Amino acid sequence: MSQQQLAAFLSELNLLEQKVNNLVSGENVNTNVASEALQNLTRFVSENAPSLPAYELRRAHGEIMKLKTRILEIEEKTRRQGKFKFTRTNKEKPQVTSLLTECPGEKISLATERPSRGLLPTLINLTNETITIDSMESSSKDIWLDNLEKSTIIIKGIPSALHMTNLRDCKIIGGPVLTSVFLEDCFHSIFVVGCQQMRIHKSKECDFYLHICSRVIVEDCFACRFAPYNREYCEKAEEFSRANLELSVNHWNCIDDFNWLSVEQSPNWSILPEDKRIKL
Amino acid sequence: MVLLTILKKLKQKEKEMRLLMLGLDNAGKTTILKKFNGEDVHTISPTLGFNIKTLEHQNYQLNIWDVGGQKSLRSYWRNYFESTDGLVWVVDSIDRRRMEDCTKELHSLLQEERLAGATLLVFANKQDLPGSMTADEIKEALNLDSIETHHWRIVGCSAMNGDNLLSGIDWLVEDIGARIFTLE
Amino acid sequence: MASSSEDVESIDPSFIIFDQCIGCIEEIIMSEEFLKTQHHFLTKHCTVFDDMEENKLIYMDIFQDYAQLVETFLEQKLREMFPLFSMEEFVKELKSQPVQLEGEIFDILREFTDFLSFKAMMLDYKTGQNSDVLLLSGFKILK
Repeated sequence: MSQQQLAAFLSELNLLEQKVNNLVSGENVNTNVASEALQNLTRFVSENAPSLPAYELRRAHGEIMKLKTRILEIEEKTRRQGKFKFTRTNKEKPQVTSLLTECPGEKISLATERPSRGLLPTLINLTNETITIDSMESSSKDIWLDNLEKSTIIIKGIPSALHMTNLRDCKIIGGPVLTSVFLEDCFHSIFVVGCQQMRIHKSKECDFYLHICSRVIVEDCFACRFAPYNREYCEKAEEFSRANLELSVNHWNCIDDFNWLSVEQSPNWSILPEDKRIKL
Repeated sequence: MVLLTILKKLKQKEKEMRLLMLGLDNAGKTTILKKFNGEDVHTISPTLGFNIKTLEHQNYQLNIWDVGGQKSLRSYWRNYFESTDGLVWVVDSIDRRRMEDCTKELHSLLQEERLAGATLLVFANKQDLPGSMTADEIKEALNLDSIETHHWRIVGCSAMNGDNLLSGIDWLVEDIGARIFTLE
Repeated sequence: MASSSEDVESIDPSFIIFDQCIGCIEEIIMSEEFLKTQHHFLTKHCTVFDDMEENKLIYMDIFQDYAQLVETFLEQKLREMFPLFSMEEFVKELKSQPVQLEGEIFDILREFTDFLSFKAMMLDYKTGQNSDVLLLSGFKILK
């Protein structure tokens, strides 16, 4: 790259950075617009990464991370405010409230109460509980775990899919899931599971022990660590085979971080060191 | 880019239709695409980019575009709007939690000028699973009755076992066909 | 369509220019300058392409840049040949004369808007990346 090209590139980079910076400053930030501008910046950097001096590349990545965090913070803030407002004025959003009334909103609702009503097995709003969902309840169903704290959930059998949202200090231990695992807003929790697909959104400080045949997607995550599925139990081979998961194929360390398009290791996730792995 | 865009629109020879399949991540877009094309649906990875399938159906050549639905990817959707005849919006009928998000994304697509002429098919996917919302419930949740700008229909389906995929696509192709090709 | 000498005389001059433009487009696309421009673009971007079923998002950006490049090139050359050339007018004419759209040149132009052919060409370029093959493969699109 000639000096002239480099100068042109750096000024373009500067412009793009400035644009995002302006978008995330002040009141009433539109995070969609800002995210889009940030995406343009990220794309620009990753496309030009090969021809950039290492120092500039590192600096640009640092700047991207900073802006990303800023946008996440703003989103998180609006989300919290939004939630608060939502509970107070739920009349304004009729379609969503009608959905929520179908979801169990009481203090405790166990999976066993649900199937009779034709709803998916759901565990919601629990603290300090240890619960086992047996294979009768889980079999071929989507399981939903929402808003749990300091709880341990053991899932037996082969659910169709697993949705986990708003978990804090939890341990979720399962066998194979037939299709996909979806995870959002989880913090400081441990997940042991096998699946075809896994998407992890907006989660922090979580450890995953995975058996996965495709790849893991992480988006807006931080400090997530990954290890291979290490749980042994007697029906394991049979269950994995029924779930179409080959025990010999495990891509537990193939992680696509959507906030890190560069070929360098993403700062948002890492391999869980062997001596730190739990035994099950 | 005027010339090439126009030329693309003036489809002379084949009866071609371009269908764009969108929806939140984990909705089952790629699974629908592969099932419809008779491929194995047990080994699909989350889509990071986009897939295209070209297939013959009802004497039309369908070009189906399936673009990844992760939040980070949604701003790229606009790159795929041009010349779209039919929009297939795929909904995960189990995912009540993100239904609001799903509604918002759909309605913002319907504002897009370049999708103005497109017919809308909503697939309420994963109907095979207990606890999924019915097509009617999803129609309510997505506020489909408020749509006046597009022809639309919602079809409950299961990508895993293939239920109703064909009837959904059949309706879509007929609707587009009636709109575009009978004018000639 | 039968045409008498009368018809030829009464023919609209804009139509003749339109026809001439079509002829020139063919010439421009076959020109060495165009092939060089195309070659430069393809060489620069083909390494990004992989022979996988799933496409990367960036392919679409490159594809759109490519179509833009072709169109800008055409427009520029046509303007050099016909100082009064206007793409807007030309497209209007094109729309009103669908009969004119039959013919090889339109197939070639339409080919520029076909993503899958574009991807195939990029992959060909990537695998055949050495000297002479490059210029030759530039002709592939003309088949």
